[in-house]
Amino acid sequence: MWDSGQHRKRRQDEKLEMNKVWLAILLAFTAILPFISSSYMMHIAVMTGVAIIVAHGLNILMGFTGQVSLGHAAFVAVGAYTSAILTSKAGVSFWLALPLSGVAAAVLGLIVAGPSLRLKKLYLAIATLGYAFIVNEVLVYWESLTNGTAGIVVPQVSFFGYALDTGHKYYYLVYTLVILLSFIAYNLSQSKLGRALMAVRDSEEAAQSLGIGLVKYKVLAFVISAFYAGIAGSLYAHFITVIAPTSFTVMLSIEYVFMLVVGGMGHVWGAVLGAILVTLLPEGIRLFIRFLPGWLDIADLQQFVYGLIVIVFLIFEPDGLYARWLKIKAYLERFPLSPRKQKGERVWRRWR
Amino acid sequence: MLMQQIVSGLALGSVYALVALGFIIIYKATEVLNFAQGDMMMFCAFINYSLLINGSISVFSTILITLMFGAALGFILERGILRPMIGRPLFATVLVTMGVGICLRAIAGVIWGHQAKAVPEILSITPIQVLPGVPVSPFHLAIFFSTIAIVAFLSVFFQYTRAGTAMRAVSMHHLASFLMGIRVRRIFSMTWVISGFVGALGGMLIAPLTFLNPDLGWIGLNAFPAAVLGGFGSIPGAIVGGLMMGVCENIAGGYLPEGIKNVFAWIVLILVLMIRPEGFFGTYEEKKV
Repeated sequence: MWDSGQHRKRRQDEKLEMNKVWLAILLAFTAILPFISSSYMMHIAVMTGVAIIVAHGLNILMGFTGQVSLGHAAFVAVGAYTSAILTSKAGVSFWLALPLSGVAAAVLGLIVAGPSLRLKKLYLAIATLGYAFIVNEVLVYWESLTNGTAGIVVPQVSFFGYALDTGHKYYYLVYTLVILLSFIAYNLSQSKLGRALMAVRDSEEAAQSLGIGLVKYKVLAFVISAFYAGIAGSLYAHFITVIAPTSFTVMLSIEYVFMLVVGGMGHVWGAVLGAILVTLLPEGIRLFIRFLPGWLDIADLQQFVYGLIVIVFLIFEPDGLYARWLKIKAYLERFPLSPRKQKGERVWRRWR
Repeated sequence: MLMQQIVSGLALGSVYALVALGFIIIYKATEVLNFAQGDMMMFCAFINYSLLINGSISVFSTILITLMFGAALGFILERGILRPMIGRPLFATVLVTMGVGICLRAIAGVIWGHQAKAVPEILSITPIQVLPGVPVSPFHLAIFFSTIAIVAFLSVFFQYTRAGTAMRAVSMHHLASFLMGIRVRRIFSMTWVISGFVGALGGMLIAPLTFLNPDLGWIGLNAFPAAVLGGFGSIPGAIVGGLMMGVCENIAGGYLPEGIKNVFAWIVLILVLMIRPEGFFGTYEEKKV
């Protein structure tokens, strides 16, 4: 049974109204969270915010454009180091270093994108892995600039003389940027650029025949994605205040990919949900620590559960949490009717 | 000095070749890149270590049990985890193998801990003079020759047996071979079993070269450049790529500044991908509008 046009229009308006309400509730919750949480929770919240920004960036590259990156930690590292070096060695203000670290990462994105244009699928994945290894090694051995494995001490941020030295204060800085960058990512997905990127993902040949230049859009995707990661890296560096090459391992890159998988690749909300879940997961396991036998190492358990969740998600819910939410929502909206009539929007598209 | 580096490079390269071989057997048949290959290898190395430390059975049966265990591990992983992923997007399946790798590493961490362990030597590592002027340790020789042996065995298997022919058919076209009456899923299982077996061999061979801890699983990643250099999807390519990569890495470690050695393989990888993505023996499909 089809809705009539007018009816459908009204339903859409209602939906938009509901979405606005939900969004307002979410924003209000984000705003009051520091008032009800401990500094430990604030630490986790800030790290989640950083992860959300990287996940958005990676989502633009992988989810929208279909270009695999297993080396995103390298962009985060470049952002973090740029900001750290500029503020601690060159005395540049954080507010200038933040955008510059995004730009530095974007430049690396441009460098990486060039040779990657020819590569597809798994070859691209392996190549990005290679770039990440090389960047990490450069950070270790370019000691005059990066202090090598000892790491760099990064100054804390102040806002017009008001020091953002605790998690509670830094939280607002991070989440202002999270909201801003989420908004940009969402608008990007609805814009001409976003549609072009998705066209490249769905079929390079078709996109090319429609006059979408592959080179231009793939490079753009890499650059935007790296810019996001760079910003996140800078935020991370000034929060943690000591960064070393070991903070940006291959495992971190893989974690970012898992965030998208768990959340739902190719959708802005998917990136947000995935980043939140994957960052909270180890902390959630930590809560059970007192119930565990002594011989069990908590780090091992975290890793194990982590791997298991990824496997379970990919087998049973390959479209991620966001798709599951859409399915539940569709079911609730049409409750008396058969749930099979209306399936959730398919988020994960075939990549072959 | 140079000869010695080449010889020990060949030994290291043989192990790379074995890991790359494990990747490629699975990749050819199922198109899945098995990121857990290194971790399967590490796990088997630990099993071997436990059996050797226990010492109640002979070295020969230790090796045999480890190889059987590797094959069983491959079988269980395929049946339990990879089977439901058949027909899913390729990249999702690859991510599943990453998840498997993480789980294996965590399990190994729980059972054996994270301290590096020295594996008891089956064969001595002290060099003997085989050719005049070139000292080679018996263990390096064993690594090299067991790699050659397994490759010869697999080549014969793929070329002349019924199962091997079926596997080659599957690697060409899934649907066509299914229609010809080949049980494609069973072939998938078989590829995982073989690759687990090869992984177990690799694990036993590499563990004495380095120290053994769960992070040994990462060495699987180092075999990617080797596989790409030789041409992904080609068995002779894996061997040539692995050996070349081992030798190059050792020579680079001897003559180039520190820091280059660790990423040398990756630099080569990116150069290969830029210049000749199909490697020496592989094929690289490119669609043009």
